[in-house]
Order: sequence, then C-alpha cells, then structure tokens
Amino acid sequence: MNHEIVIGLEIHAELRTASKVFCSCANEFGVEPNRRTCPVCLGMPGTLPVMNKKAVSYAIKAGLAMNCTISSFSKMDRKNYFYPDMCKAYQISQFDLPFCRDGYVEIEIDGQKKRIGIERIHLEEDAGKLNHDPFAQGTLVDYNRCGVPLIEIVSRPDMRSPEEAKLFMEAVKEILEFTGVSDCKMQEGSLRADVNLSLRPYGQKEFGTRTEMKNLNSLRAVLRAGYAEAARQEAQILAGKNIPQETRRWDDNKGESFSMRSKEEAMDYRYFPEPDLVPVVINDAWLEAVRKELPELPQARRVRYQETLGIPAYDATLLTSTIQIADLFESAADICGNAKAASNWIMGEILRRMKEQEEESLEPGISGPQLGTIIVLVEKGEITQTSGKKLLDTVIGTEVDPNVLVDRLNLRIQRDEGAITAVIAQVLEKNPQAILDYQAGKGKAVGFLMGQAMGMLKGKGDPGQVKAALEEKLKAL
Amino acid sequence: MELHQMPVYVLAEKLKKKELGARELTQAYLNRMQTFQPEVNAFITVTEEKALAKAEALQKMLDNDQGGSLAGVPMAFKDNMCTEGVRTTCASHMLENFIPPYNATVVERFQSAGTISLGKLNMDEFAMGSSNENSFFGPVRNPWNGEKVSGGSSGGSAAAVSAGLAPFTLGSDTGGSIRLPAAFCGVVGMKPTYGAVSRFGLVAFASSLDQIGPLTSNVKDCALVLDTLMGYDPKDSTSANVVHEACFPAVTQGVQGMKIGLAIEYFGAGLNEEIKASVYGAVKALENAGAISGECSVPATEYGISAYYLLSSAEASANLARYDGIRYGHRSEAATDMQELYRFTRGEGFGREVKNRILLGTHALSSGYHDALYVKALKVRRMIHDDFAKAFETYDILVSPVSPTTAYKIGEKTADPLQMYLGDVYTVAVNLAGLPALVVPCGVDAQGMPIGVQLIGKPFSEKKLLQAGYAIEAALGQLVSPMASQLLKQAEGSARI
Amino acid sequence: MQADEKTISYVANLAALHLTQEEKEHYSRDLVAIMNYMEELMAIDTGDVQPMEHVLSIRNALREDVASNTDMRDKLLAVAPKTEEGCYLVPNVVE
Repeated sequence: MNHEIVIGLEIHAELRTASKVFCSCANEFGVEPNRRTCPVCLGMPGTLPVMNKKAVSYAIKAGLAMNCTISSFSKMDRKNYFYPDMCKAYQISQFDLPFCRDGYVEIEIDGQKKRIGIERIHLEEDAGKLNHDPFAQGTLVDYNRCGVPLIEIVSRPDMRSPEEAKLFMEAVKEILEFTGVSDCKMQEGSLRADVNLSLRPYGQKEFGTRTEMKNLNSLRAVLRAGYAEAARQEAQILAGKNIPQETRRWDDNKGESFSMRSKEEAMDYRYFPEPDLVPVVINDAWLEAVRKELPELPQARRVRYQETLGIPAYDATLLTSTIQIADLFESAADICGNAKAASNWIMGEILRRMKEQEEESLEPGISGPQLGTIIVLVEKGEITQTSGKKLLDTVIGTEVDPNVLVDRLNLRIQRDEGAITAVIAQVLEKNPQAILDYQAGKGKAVGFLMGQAMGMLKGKGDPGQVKAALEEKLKAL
Repeated sequence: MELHQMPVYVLAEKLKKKELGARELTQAYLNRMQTFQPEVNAFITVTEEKALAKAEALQKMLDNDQGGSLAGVPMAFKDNMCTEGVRTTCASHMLENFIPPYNATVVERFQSAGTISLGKLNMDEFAMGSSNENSFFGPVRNPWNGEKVSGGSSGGSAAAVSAGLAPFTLGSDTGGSIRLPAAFCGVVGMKPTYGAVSRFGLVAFASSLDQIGPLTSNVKDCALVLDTLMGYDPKDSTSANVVHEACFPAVTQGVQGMKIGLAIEYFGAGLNEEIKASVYGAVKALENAGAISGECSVPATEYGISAYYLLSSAEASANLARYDGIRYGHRSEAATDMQELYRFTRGEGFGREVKNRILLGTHALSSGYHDALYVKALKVRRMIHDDFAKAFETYDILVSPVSPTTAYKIGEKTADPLQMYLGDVYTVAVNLAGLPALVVPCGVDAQGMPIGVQLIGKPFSEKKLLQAGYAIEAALGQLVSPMASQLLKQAEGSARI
Repeated sequence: MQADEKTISYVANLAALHLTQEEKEHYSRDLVAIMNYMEELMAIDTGDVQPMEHVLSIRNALREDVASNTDMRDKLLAVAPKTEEGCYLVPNVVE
C-alpha cells in the first residue's frame, strides 16, 4: 500500500433484554414470523412507545465499560426514511444527545497497546427482516425483530488497518458479552458493523474521502471487506480517479463491494425530537447502580491472571473467552488454591466437554466450588486423575457436592497394601508372557501390567504405590 | 324536556334511579339520527346494533344497581380514536376500512364508566382542518344552518351534540379542533392540559400538541365527562402522573375574586365586531359574578400561526409516514415495485389538505431548512409559552374570542389554505403552550350563528376554567340549535315515552 | 421560500408521495403563499431562546423490562392488505 488506511467503525449490537425497547413483546430470536409483534411495534395508528428501562441501563453499562461519559440528560429522536422493514417509516434513535460519548477501547497490536476512541453510543430500535422467497410473489416481511433494542457504538477514525478494525470489533464484542449487554451472536445478526474507510498519503493530516460499507456480520467480513476496499480505493487513486463519498454494500460471497448510493443521493433523514417520548435524566444513583453491576472486564482479568496468578498469556486468553468461563476459573482457583490446576482442568476438560455438547451453550454446567472441590480431591491424592474426570462427568449439570459423590461412587484411592499385593499377584499369575518380556528387558511390559493392576483396582489405586509394589514384586521374581 | 335535551348529569341520575331505561334512551338517539344524520353528516359510522346490545347489557347492570358513573349514557367518539372491532377511518380514504384490533385508552375509560357508543364521528381528514370540509366522507353541516360549516376538525363531535344526536362526544384538539367547532355550533368544548388525557389509541396528527377533550351542551356536563376522561396512563409516556381533583362537584363554586386577563393581541384588527362585543359581554358576566378583569399582553402569540403550522406539519409528516399499504389501510393496486407501492398508496390514500401538510412538514424538516423553519418555530414556541406563563403570574384566566368570524359558508375558504389557517389565530397558541382552554357559547350574531368565548388557564386548572365557564353560562344561558329544538314526528318518535 | 416544482418534487420524494403534474402546480402555489406568510418568523429575534420541543416537564417515563407474550399475529395479519406465510407481502425489494 502506498497509502495509509483510516478506518472508523459503527457497531450495532442488539441488547439482551427480555422485552423489546418500546413494547412488551418478547425479545426472542428464531420465533415463527410475526409471532412477536403487537400494535405498538407494528406502529399501528394511535399506538405509542414506552421506553424499556433496562435498555437504557444496558446502554449506560456499555458506555461505562468503554470509558464513556454518560449524559445526565438525553432524549430520543426520529430518523425518517422509508424502507419496508420499518413499521413507522421512522426509526426511534438518538441524534444530538446520545446516552454515552467520548470513550475508548484498548486493543493490542504487535505487542503494543492502542486506544481506539469511541465517539458515542446511542440507543435505537432494530428493524424487521425481509425474506426473499423465490416462490412468493414478492418479498415477505417479518417484523419480529422490529423494536428490539439496539446500541450503536460509533468509533473515531482511529484504526489504521483492517486488522486493527477486527481487533477493535473483537474487543467491543468481548466487553458487550462480559457485561451481559448483548449476546453478540453475529450469525444471528445481533452484532453487525458498518466500516468507514478512507486512504491518505502517509504523513498527510487531512482525511481522504471515505466510503461506508454496510452491515458486515462477521469478524472475517470486517477484515476482508477492509482489505478489499483499501485495495479498490488505492487502485482508483493510482488510476487518477476520485473516490466518491458513497455507501457500499459488501458481498461476502463474491468478496466485492457494490455502490448503493452516492453522497448526492444521501438520505435526508429529517431528524427531530421524538414527541411521543420524554427526555431521560440519568442521575448519580442510577449511574452508581449500573456501575456496581459492572464485572471486571476481560482485558483487566487477563493482566491479573498473568501477573498475580502466573497463568501464561495464551491460557489467560482462553480463560477469558466468556465471562462464564472466567468466573468459573476464578471461583475454582479460589476454592482449590491452585490457579494453574484450575486453569488446566478448565482448558483440558471443561472446554472440551462444552464443545462436544450438541446444543451450544455458554454455561459450563458446573460451579466454581464443585470444580474446585474436585481439584482439591485430586491434588490431595484422595482420588486419582481418572476418578477426577469421572467425578466431573457425574457432577456436570447437577448441584451435587463432589465430596458426597466420592464415597457414593466409591472413588477414594485404595491404599490397603494387602489388597494391592493381592491384585498384583493375580495380575502376574494371569500374564506370564509379560513377565517374560520384562525379564527380556522390554520396559513396556511394566506399563502393561500397571494398566492391568489399575484396572482391577477400578482406577482407585494410587499409581505411585501400585507401581512401586509391582516393580518390587517383578524384581523379586 | 325531551330526552335528547337532557344534560348528561341528569340522564345518568335518571338511569341510576331507573326512571329511564338505557335502551329507550339509546333508541331515542338512534331515532333522531334517522332524521337528522343525513342533514348534518355528523357520523361516519353508526353502530346501531352494537349500541342496542350494549344498552341491554348495561340495563341489566343498572337493574342490579351496578355499572359505572355514566352507566347507560349514549355518546360517540371522533373517528380518530381507535375502537376495537369498529372501523376507525380518520375520515380518510387511507383508513376507510381500517378496523383496529385494540381500543384507545379513552375508549376503555368510557366503557368502564358504562357509556354506550353510538358510533364514530366525522372530522377533517387526520384532524387536519378548521371547517370539517376535508373529510373523505363529505363535510359536516352546521345544525344552526346547513349551508354553513361546522368548524373543524372535530366538526362531527360538535354538530352531533348541537343537533341533539348524542348527549356528549369526544373530540381532539391539536390547534383548536375542539374549540373552533364548539364555537361554530354553539356547544361547550374543552381542550385539557397537554398530558391530562391519554393519547394512546388517538391516531396521531401532531404528537406534542394533540389532546382529547369533551364536547357537551353545558358546562356541568363538560366537568362530568372530564372527570372520566382525565387520568394517568402508563401506555402514554406523555401522560401526566397527577391526581386530578374531581371537577363536577366544584363547577358551581363561583368566580369571586378570580382574576381575568384580556390579552390585547386577541382583540386587534381582523376580529369581527359582533364577536368582540359578545366576548366583552362574557367578561361583563364574569365581573358581575365577582371576577376582576384587566388587560395583559402575550406578544409572541402573534406568531402562533406560523409556528403552529410548521411544528404540527413537521410532526404530522413523520406520524403519517407509516401509512404505506403494508400492514393496514389502503394499498394501491397500481404499484409494481416497492417505491410505487409507497408513492401510489400515499398519493391515492391521502386527501389534498393532508398532502399539503405532509409537504410543508417534510420541507420544514429537510436539510437546509431545518434550522430556519423547524428550530425557529420551536424557539417561538418557547416565547409563546413564556408569555403565557408571565400573564398567569397576574391572572387566573385569560379570556379571548375563539375565531375571528362565526361559521362561514361551506366552500367559502376551501380554495385558499392560508385563509383557512388564519382562522385558527386565537386557538393555536394554547396548544403550543400546552394549556387548557374552555369554549362556552356567549351569544349569536346577526345571522343567528353562535359565538363562543375562550377561557385559557394555567396547566391543570381545568376546574377553575369550568367555574368561570359555568358563571358565563349561568348569566347568558345555553344555546340550543334549531335542529335540537326540532322534535321528531310522532311516528318516528314512537320509541319515546 | 422557493416552493418551485423542483422543491416540491424533492419534498414529495422524501415523503414518498406521488403527485400529478396538476397537484405539483397547486401545491407549489399553496406552499408559496404559506411560506411567504411565514417569512414573519425570520424577522423575530429569538436571541438565545432555547427551542421547546415539548411543554412537558415529565422525565423518565420508563417501563420495567417484562415480556408479555401475547401472540396477536393472526389478528394483526387480518388487518393487512396482503399477507403470505404469516408475513406481510410487499413487491420484490431489490437492494
């Protein structure tokens, strides 16, 4: 590239409220078309919106998590345009007084920390969905999503590569997930981004003319669209052509973008204050209540895990992939007093089990105390690693105390020397060939015999003790 | 006294005491409708069967000493208030066949009070108009003189009461739409304080100005109806969560010591001399009853028309954008693509004045004009609001005319929208400032057309306005239209006792 | 204001209103008259007056986040001019 890339992002995230933003229809994905609609979200004549308090709290929460200033006085505005996915032909949004402004999110690029500025975060309503059914005589409109609360996070043009844009999007996603503000299911469209991109000669202060690419719904698309658009713009510039300010649509299948409309055709949205709603005043009490609900954010946790718990960077990243995992880790580590063991158990056992589940869920199915207790049992040598895993399988999805289960399942390590000696005697008697192998110097034979012995002990033998007894017996033969 | 001439508070009493049956009362009104509805065109839809069935049901409750405060009293809603299962047209081709699956909050309130809806009342299309000539269902004719307009936009609401076709009605007032027809038809009409009455289910014209109010034949009825009408509604964010003191018991408390202001701006050039004299007559009546009057000034109200038409049209341009032929209402058959569906549906569905307002409002909000027109109007709105607030530091009530003229001939002003707008000069500022205002008849002009006086109060001072209105009515008397005086021929009136 | 036909066409397009040539002409006329009258606003010194969007002093009219799953779909679709498969039908939307 002969030019510097400048990128700003507008990220739309659906909020995880129980009901829609202006009516009490359930905010649910994947319901039959139009089963979650009412006269209010359909904008039927005479109906009026009433604002969902939780949606406002979530917007504030997102703002606090992204280091924004929260406006003490905000209002809603109407953004007017016609599109069949919108019931009132205006979207209730925020124009000049958004709930949050002037924040930042930190990303790490090439080992360097970089702050990406947040210009504003505002609340608005989502639109319905258009389904193009080849068999229908037109387009089918489903308004279930109409009125789902949405926040729009507008970044400053602080990103200098598509890679940075992707990292920023990831960082925002992580924050929204950790704060519980949004589930950020990109494949369901609950998180999507518009990419504003321009080029300028290195060293130039002024920005070039930007284009806006709409509705990118995967991190990969943000990356690909960014590179493709930068390349397209550079080719234009090198060919001596101007870059017109325009809105473009990214086709992820074709890997190309297409012009939707130019600046001249730009929408005249005729914003004006929504007269059906009253202003929102956010006082200190409200702000503090939301602040109290803010969890420690993933970035901070990763630093803490590395610096005070001695967890490697890669592991710390995995452990903070979701708040459920991070909280499980912290609780389990706290109970067992061994962060590394907790980390190993989660990365080795819990995450694998979650991946294998048929239905995707963020819930690990086990509590910190449960996992911590299992770790303690293993670490103290009360049960073997194998029994620990068995215990885990039994405990997951229940609220049972592993301590109780240990005895019920008879998992406690067998330390009775007599019993062990008896088992070894039996094993040796049944496997004369292995004894011969051992005597011929084949080391594998010990392992085989160990396995046989442990099997007869149902995994409850203390491996060290069994091995020592076995070797002693073999030598004595 | 004939049934249709009895005040609401008397009817409610008689029904409770079983001196009168809900069914015979309802039938009496339906009978009058047979004769007079074709003449005045006050109703768009008459729900005769539903009304009679409701009357039966209510009579059973009354027989068991049950039912709400207005049990068994017939009434009617302006056709911009949503009624579940009964078409709600807004007098527009756009909603000609729209049957809402929900009720407006006011409809629910009156259902709980036990009233019987006779039907839906004619109006200017989407409440845009001052003469009720902008109706898809034809103009409403003035019960005092069929050649003349009823005033608008709640023309049907005023004419129905004036003609004796309903004991009371509900109208809506965005810039004078209750008060103007009340004055033109010689009835009592109140535009309550903004926020006093729920707007849920009132098809929006200009959300920050719209307010529902009663039209009645006398002031006491107005108070009684208002007591059922006002109240907080969680479904309307702009509804005031205040406790409204009952108005009805306080109406007759008098005006002793009440301070009455006459704003000089309301008595300047352009005001018909007969109206001026009549309004002064009303002031005199108040003084005689113990009120003290003085002059004041609300200078910014001079710009009320401009500010009002910009703001109301701007809001309307967005409020009426939802009529697109997709989810309800008219849909153009000629459209072949999405853009045409919008443009043709809206082009065909809206009448001339509605389109005019949409164009004006869209223009006022559009890029390049937003600040010069819309924002400027918002600033003027504050100036008007502040002028009133200042006047109310001295006065309890401001008295003014309602309109520069009495009812004019049908067709006289339709060619010139601006002339029509100027007729709202005395009413629009009240909406911009969110104030309550009561109109009470105070005389007739030389042509025998009614004249009304407007009483403007501080926010939530409805009770005081009613006390003053009652004092005027007590001194000057109620007006009874020739049509209301006209009795049905014996055969038609057979259902009467 | 210049309520020429170009302005009317621009505004009509924003408002998604189909107007006939005759309509465009009379709306131009009407709007010119109205806008000329409104010129009076230009003369007012509004100084530092704050715009007043609403007379209300109500703040924070908020509802609790409670979902009530009353499925009214069939009642609502019954009011629509054209529906198919539980959806509202519109002409093909080309993006």
